[in-house]
Amino acid sequence: MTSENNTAIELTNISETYQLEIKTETQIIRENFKALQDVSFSVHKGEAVAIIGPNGAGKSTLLRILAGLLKPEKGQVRIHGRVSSLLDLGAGFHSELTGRDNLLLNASLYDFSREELNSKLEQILRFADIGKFIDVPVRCYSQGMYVRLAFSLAIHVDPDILLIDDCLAVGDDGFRIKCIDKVLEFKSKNKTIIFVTHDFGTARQVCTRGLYLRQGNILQDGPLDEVVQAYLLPLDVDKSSYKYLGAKIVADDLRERAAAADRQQDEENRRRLDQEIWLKAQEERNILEQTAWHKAQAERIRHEQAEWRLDQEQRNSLELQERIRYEQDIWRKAQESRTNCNKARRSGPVELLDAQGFRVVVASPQNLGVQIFSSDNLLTDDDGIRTLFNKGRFKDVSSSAASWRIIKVSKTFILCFLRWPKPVHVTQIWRWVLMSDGNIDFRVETRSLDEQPVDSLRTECRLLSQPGVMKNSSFCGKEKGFFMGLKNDVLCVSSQDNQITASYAHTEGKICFYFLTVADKELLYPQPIIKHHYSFQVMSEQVRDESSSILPHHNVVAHTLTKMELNLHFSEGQCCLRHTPNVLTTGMGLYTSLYADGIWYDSTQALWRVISAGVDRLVVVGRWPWLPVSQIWDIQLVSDTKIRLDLSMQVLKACPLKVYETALMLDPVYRHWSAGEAVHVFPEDVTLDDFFRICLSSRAADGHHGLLLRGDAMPALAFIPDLLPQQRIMLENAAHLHGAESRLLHCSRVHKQEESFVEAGEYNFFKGFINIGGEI
Amino acid sequence: MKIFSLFFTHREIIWNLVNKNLRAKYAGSFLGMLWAFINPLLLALIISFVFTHILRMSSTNFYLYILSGLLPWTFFAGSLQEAAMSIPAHAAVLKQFPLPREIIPLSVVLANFVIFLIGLLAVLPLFIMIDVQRLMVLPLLGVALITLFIFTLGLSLVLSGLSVQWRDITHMLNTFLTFWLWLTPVFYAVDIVPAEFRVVIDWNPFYPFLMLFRAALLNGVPWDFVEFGISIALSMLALFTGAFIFLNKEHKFLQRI
Repeated sequence: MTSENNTAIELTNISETYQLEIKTETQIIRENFKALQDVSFSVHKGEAVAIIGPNGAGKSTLLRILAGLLKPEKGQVRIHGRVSSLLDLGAGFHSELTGRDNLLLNASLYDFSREELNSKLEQILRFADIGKFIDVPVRCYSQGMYVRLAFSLAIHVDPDILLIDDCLAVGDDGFRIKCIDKVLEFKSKNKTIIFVTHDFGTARQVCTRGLYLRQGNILQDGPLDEVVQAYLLPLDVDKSSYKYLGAKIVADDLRERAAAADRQQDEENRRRLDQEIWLKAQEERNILEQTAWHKAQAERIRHEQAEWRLDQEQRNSLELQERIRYEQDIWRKAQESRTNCNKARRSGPVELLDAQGFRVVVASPQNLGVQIFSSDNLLTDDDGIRTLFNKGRFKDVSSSAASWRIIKVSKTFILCFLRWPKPVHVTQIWRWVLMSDGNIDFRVETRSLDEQPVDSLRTECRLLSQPGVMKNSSFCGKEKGFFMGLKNDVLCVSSQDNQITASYAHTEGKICFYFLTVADKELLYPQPIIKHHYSFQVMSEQVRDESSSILPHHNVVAHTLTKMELNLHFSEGQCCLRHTPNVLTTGMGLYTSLYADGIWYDSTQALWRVISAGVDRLVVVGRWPWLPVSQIWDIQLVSDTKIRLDLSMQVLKACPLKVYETALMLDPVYRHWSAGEAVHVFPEDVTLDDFFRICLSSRAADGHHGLLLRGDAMPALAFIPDLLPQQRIMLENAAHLHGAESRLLHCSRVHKQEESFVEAGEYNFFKGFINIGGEI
Repeated sequence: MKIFSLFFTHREIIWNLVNKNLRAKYAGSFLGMLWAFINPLLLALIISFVFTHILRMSSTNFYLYILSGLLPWTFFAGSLQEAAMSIPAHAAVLKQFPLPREIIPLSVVLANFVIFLIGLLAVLPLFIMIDVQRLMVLPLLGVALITLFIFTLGLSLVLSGLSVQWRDITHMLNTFLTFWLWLTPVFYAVDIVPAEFRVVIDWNPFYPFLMLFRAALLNGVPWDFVEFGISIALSMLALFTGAFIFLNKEHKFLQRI
């Protein structure tokens, strides 16, 4: 059996439970504490493994099982070879006996036979190096001498497997080096070493492999450096954040109580509370300082790591790629273990806020989401409310992939803490507050824990409602607030600090509606901390119409170009075309749209800035908030009948863009169109709800690549794009899309699946003319 | 029976534990091992003085009468007291080495037994001086020693096994042993006990062993076989109960100490 020959230790599905007695003033509660949960790993002969983890992670229990001291409750232990353990140095030594007597009398415990001890005694004494003290009772020893003697005895057993429990840290430096040398000597003899420690320097000297144990689970198993980093970076910083939050909450409570005391004129109480507040503030400051310290530590480690990585890069770039793959692997594993953790915490109750039937339910352990209810009707779909962000090479990291912790719950308040472990390394704080007016206030604060900032962030609220229900809500615009249709009521979402926009997406054959958040203009990504703030409200249809004005408005970027009768009004990424007295466009008019990852991003959602504006020429630049894309529109009224459009797109970072198109929403009066010689009529019997689409392929070769549209009592309109490769023009009945009946002219370019990834750079987006009343 | 083979394979460890226990007990004292028999001699002297001169109860060889009961009792009570605390006291050893835990109470009882034997050998000449004929029944003393040892070991296993879970036992034990001592005719003759209380003595489990020692040391006659049978039965019962309880409890020791 080759496996038997190579394997020194083999653990399969080990679980161990302790029974704790929690003594309170009135009663004793018995509780099971799971020290180890389903732990499996194996160690080869000659391998040195460091086990790290916080206190109480189950490290010592694991060692005891390996040493054969504990029989695990469940699982199998297979150990091949003689085990010696340095768990509790000097066990069995009696303080009244001399060092020599203790050696003689305890040798049998260490599995020394009498002859073996006699032959090794000289060696042991030389190693311990405590001189004449060997014949003095052990009680007179200093701590260092005691450990020297005990360690010396233990290390001279000749085991196949050596278990060490963080005991190399004692003794002076000289002795420590001796100990490590001895351990390394063991290693060179192809013995197996298991080393539990918090001293990562020593661990690096001895071990190559690391096991990260936490709450009885193995979180990570791999090269020691990786494991140590995984352990050091997130935990310390997070722990401090938790503490900080805790202290902050307590401080907030105290402040409230102080205010109450003040009202009651209770001077003494007030003074005491003031003092408490002061103490808490002090604590808060301390914790902040601590966090800063941890961050500095993390920074230092990261710095070292960066240097190392640079070095490595120069030597071998292939290895770097290996590393990246490995990191992704770790991420996947961390995800899995997180899922396991969440499963384990499944017992917790569902938390909720309640305001006259309008509820937000945070169901963190069960399905990792937040759902909104109105009078017991679920409004949101399975995903509920979630956040999605991009960071570096991690795209669309969702809040349902985070590990959740509900930190505080009261009748009007829920505070959640979300953490994405390394290598994503981001935290979020979600705070839900039920306001006195029945609104629900929602704040998200996102923070990256390393130097790589979060590139973009959006919040999604996926609703169950069907398209038909959203009848009058235009949801392509960009507002400070938004209404979403429900069965009887309207869900109103507004944002104090940000602009939000609603959109729809096809996912898995289902249409979902959701809103996205646009950062304020000054706050373009990336930023170190991103804050979003919303307010949720449910109102009836009537109330909604009356109260539309309650939503805050923002400054609109708009400009009007005029030449004789021709008039073009640009407003926030859409253009309205007018030929006095006729309005030629409806709905969004002239706009552009990008399709990426199953979502349409319209130009109306972008952030716009005017570069130059004249009487007949306008140049604007728009930045898409959740795509690394910006567009420059150069619109010129060449004559009183001709509009020149020159649209270019700048991709700031490689990203997937499947379709991009320029669209013109025309009045439904336009029913006749001609391309070249052929003249067609838009079918009479097309109803509002029917879907009707005609594709016109590029005919640049014929010289006829434009489209001429006519309608009763309207000037003819020619749409003449300079067709770029792969572009084509389409005409469709757009009633099903945007509520308003219209003829929608697209000039779109569809990428094939394999080439949908667009590299960074400048692209021509659209070039062409619109002729009013003229010819092609 | 597994227990005995374990004792055999770990004999070296057991012997070292006993040795360490004895050395540690008398380490730093001037008289050392002598205390093993000075103590019971003095105690017996004081008690016989109190009983004969102050309470005016006299009988022949009263001093030896007390001594013959007091020595086995000291061994018995001392072992139980020490064994009850033995597991927590040896926690460091148990946490470090995967030993069979039975050897801890065993080593404690053995150490006490060695002291008992030394004390007994020291006072044996006093008994022989009364009547040299007594040498004839001395082999029977050996049988008494073995049965008492097994009985004590059994009860020690029970106590050490239970006291890890219920620490109250160690506190209760002292008072209980004192009470038991006075219910046992160590300091007084059986015939002065009123008839209605005789039943207490008849059901006293230590009484048969006491009788074995008295018969061998004091009366110099072979005891009757009923007493002999009872004591063997008792010691076996104690041993099996002790082993059963101990083996049932021992896997949880490490979590509790």
